[in-house]
Order: sequence, then structure tokens, then C-alpha cells
Amino acid sequence: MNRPLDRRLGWTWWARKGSYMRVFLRELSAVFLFVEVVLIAILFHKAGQDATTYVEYTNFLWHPLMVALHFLALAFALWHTVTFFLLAPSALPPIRVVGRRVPSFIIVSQQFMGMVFVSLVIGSWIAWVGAT
Amino acid sequence: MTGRSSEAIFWSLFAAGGVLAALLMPITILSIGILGPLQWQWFANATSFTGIQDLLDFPLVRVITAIALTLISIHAVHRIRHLIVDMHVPLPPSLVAFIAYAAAFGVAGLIAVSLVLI
Repeated sequence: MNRPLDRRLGWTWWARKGSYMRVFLRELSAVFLFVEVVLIAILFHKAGQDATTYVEYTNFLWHPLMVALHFLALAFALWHTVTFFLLAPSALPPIRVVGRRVPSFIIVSQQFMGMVFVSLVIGSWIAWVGAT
Repeated sequence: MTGRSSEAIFWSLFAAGGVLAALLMPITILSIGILGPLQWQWFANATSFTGIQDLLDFPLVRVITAIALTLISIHAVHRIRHLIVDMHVPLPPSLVAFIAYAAAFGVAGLIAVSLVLI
């Protein structure tokens, strides 16, 4: 992750090219992921206390402005997912099945299928707990 | 730094957190941050005070959630650390790294206290 830093570009390097911007947005997604992890960690912490404390916190967490932040964070989280999965074929060692190298589009599409499956399982489980 | 660097350890945690974030964060944000407050009945129930107790009722769920959130926060601070340096913020990179990993350590502590040590 230690990219050589070209100081001549200045701090606005991300505005120079579309590819720079995509990398910048990918790195920026980490800020939103971190904020959401902190918010969720606090939610679980409040869940261990009394109902009043929990509701006070969810009033803040579910304020319309915060929901707008969650929508933005969701977009960044999906961008993280897309960029992370697209990089996997070049980050992983070559995967061979019966001596033939697995094409990268298969690796990428398998990951997306896995992600959709995991999301459906978790989403259904949460819905099931809410419904019962 | 000469010879071996601690970077490899952080990088493997970073990669694991990246996979978990890619798989888990969209549905988590959608469920807790969007569908719950928008009053989708089942998600609103599941994220209420009693609903969240039911979700976290299983020790295995709490442990897995704690590990996943910890690794995702390590992944995020690792990227934020490099982003801060790449944005030419005039701070020593070693100080940035220290603050970043300290923040992740703090979050991991809060998660451990909330989910595992209760």
C-alpha cells in the first residue's frame, strides 16, 4: 500500500484524471466505512444498557440527516465492494482448475454472487427476527 | 525501518477486513441505517431495543460480529492513514499511522466490551 508519492501533483491529484478520482473515491470509502462501524459499535454498546439510553441514541442515529448519511455511506460501501472485487484477480495468485487458469471474469462474478448470497442470508435473518 | 517491516501483519488484517467490508457492510448499513428508520416493519422491529437483544442473543453471532467489525475498522484506518498522507496533510506519517491504529484499537475495545465481555 506504500504508493510512491509524487509531490509535484499537489494535494488535488485526485481531480486530474478519472482513474485518479476512482482511486480517491475508493480510499475515501474507508472514511464512511469507519464512521458506520463506529456508529454500529456504539449502537451495540447502547443495546447493552437500558431502553431509554438506546432510544435516545437511535433518535440521533435515525435522524433524517443521519439517514441521508447512511444512504451516502451505502453508496460508498457498494463502491468499496465493487473496487475490492474487481482488484481480486490481480491481487490473488493465479487460480487453476484442472490445470487451466480461471478467467478473471469468473472470479469477479463469483465474488458478486457470494456477496448477494451473504446479503440475502443476513437480510432474511434480520427480517425473520423482526417478524417473530 | 530496516529488514522486516510490520507492514505485512497489518496488510493481512487489512485484506481480511476488506473482504468482510465488501461482503457485510452494504447489507448492514441498509438494514440498520436505512430500512429500520424508514419503518420497514420487520427491520424496524429487529432494530428496536428488544429486537437488537434478539439479534445478539446468540453468543456465536456476537463473537462473529465483533471479529468482523474489528477487522473492518482495521481495514478502514489502514486506508485512511494512507489517504491522509496522500492528501498532503502536514503531519508525520508515523504519527498518522499511530493515531489511525490507536483509533482502530479503541473501536475494537468498545466492540469487545459491548459484544463479547458482557
